[in-house]
Amino acid sequence: MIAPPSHGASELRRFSGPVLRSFELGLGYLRWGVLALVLAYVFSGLIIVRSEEVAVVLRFGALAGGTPATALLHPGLHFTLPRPMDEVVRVKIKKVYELEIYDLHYRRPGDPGAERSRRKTIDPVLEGYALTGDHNVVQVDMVARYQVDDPVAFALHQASPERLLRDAIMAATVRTMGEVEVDSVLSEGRSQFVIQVVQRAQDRLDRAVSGLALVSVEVTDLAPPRQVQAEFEQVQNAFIDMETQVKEAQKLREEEVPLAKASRDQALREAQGYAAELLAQARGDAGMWRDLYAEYRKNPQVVRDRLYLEAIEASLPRSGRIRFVPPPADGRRYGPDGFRLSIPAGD
Amino acid sequence: MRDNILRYSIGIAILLALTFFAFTWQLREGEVAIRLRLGRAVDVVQDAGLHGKLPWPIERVVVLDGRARVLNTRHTEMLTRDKKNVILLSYVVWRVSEPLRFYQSLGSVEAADSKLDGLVTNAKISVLGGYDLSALVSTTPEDLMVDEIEQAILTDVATKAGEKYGVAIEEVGFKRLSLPEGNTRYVFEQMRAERKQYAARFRAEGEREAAKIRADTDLEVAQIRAEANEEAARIRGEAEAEAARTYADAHSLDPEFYRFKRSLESMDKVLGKKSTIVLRTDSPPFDLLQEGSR
Repeated sequence: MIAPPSHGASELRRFSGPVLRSFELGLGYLRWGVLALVLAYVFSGLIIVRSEEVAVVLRFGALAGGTPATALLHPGLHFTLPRPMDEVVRVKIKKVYELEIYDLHYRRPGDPGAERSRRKTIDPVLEGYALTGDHNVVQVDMVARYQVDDPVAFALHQASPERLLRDAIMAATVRTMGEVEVDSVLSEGRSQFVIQVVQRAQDRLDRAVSGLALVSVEVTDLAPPRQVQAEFEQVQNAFIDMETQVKEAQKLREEEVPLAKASRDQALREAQGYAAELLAQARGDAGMWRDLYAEYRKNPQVVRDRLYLEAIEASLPRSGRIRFVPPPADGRRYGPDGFRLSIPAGD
Repeated sequence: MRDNILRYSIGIAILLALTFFAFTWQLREGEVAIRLRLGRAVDVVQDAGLHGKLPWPIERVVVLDGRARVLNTRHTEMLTRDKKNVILLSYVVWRVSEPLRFYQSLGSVEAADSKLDGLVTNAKISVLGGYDLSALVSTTPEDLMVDEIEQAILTDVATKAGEKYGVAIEEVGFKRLSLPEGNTRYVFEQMRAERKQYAARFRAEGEREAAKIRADTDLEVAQIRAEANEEAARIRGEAEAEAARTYADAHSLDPEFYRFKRSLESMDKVLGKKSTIVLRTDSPPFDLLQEGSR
């Protein structure tokens, strides 16, 4: 069924009228729309550089102003040209990034390593290690901390700065490990080893103009491989045993020497006591003797007789037997005091 | 009328933009490019910025990544001069230095990796054949020649890569030095033997040191004892001498009287129950009895 033309035209007008009117109206709005778009475009060059970052401005692809210094925007509000004239590359220059370097270690992220652990040998493809200067195998796991110090080099001249960092640290590690002794690097030489690694890795990063600065390298694990772990522990134990033995001997010494000194002091005190007593006795006796002698000098015979008789009084009653003999005919006297003692054996 | 002005100005702006994009192109910092006219290279551009060209399809620009890239070589076993097998993994930092030569010989950055790997591996094998293992790992600093070896490989690869592929080599480093799997067994055995030796040494050293300390202790104690005995004897001796002197001083006033007095004391001490005293009848005090009886 075809509608009559007149009717159709009026229908068309009837329908298109509002559409046309709204198009006219739309054109009016479009003016404002275009103006808004133009303004938005112009102000799209307004950027805020945050405090932890810097921005590199590329004008038509080249460093704005021609040098890295002029292309750099520091934190704050900046006006740049809208795309496609200017491009802003933000670089987090304050942030300290972390990178684990596990390639010289048996542990790899997401790898249980169960198959490896039974092996008596190490397949260099399956796990990493480094050789020390005295041809020992050690495995080392490290965490590197680093910052961007040249944003232009880092963001624009390096395709993979992280890979470069990893490889530079590994090369520095292999190089440094290759000149140290295993016993040194496993003990007191470890901090010196790390210092060397950082220095050599930084030299390599600088030579390759990486734009990266190493903050630190932390050795999280450094040990001989499990195949020889037991023997290394035995050495450790032997070392501890040695120290224990020496310590025990020293302890014994620290006990015995003071003890000996104490007994020496005791003996000396005893000797001094004995000496003092002896001297006191001697002086006392001498004093008494002098007194007696003084008396004796005044009256010798009286004192002499008294002493003699006192002695006889004291001793004769205790004696078992007393026998008298007549004096010899010649009248000779025995001894000055005229008595003699006979003492039976065994008394 | 204002609507028309708006319409025209939008149209002109679009037209200008199209012309601008058709006749210019930008080279970003870190990139290099070759301008091709009908497929033939007419210009090599290495300065970043805005550049002109004829519109497509007359001229076309091939942009290449000019940034430094890191390549790791594969695990390859090689021999040192002293016939030791080692596996040396290295990294190479390279970048496109001559874009046209690079584009013509390799075409893409990806294709470069395998070619460079071959170059580096060959250089490593030939350079390392001239050095002993001790040039790589040694505790004698004069033996170590890692820097020299790396430099030799770099020079060798740089020359060839530059001539053939338009590639500059900026850095070569050994990121891993390993031994073939079979050889690690012997290394481990050696390590074990060395450890056992150390353990034995520590034990012996501990015993020796402890024994020495014990002997020192015994000696010191003996010295202290001897010193004590000597000193005590000296003190006693001096005291006895002093006492003897004191007695002698006193007794020497009258030796005869002393002997008398001392004899009486001795008599008192020695006489006991079983003693038999034989006295002459004329000895005092019994002489009195005799005299009395007389």
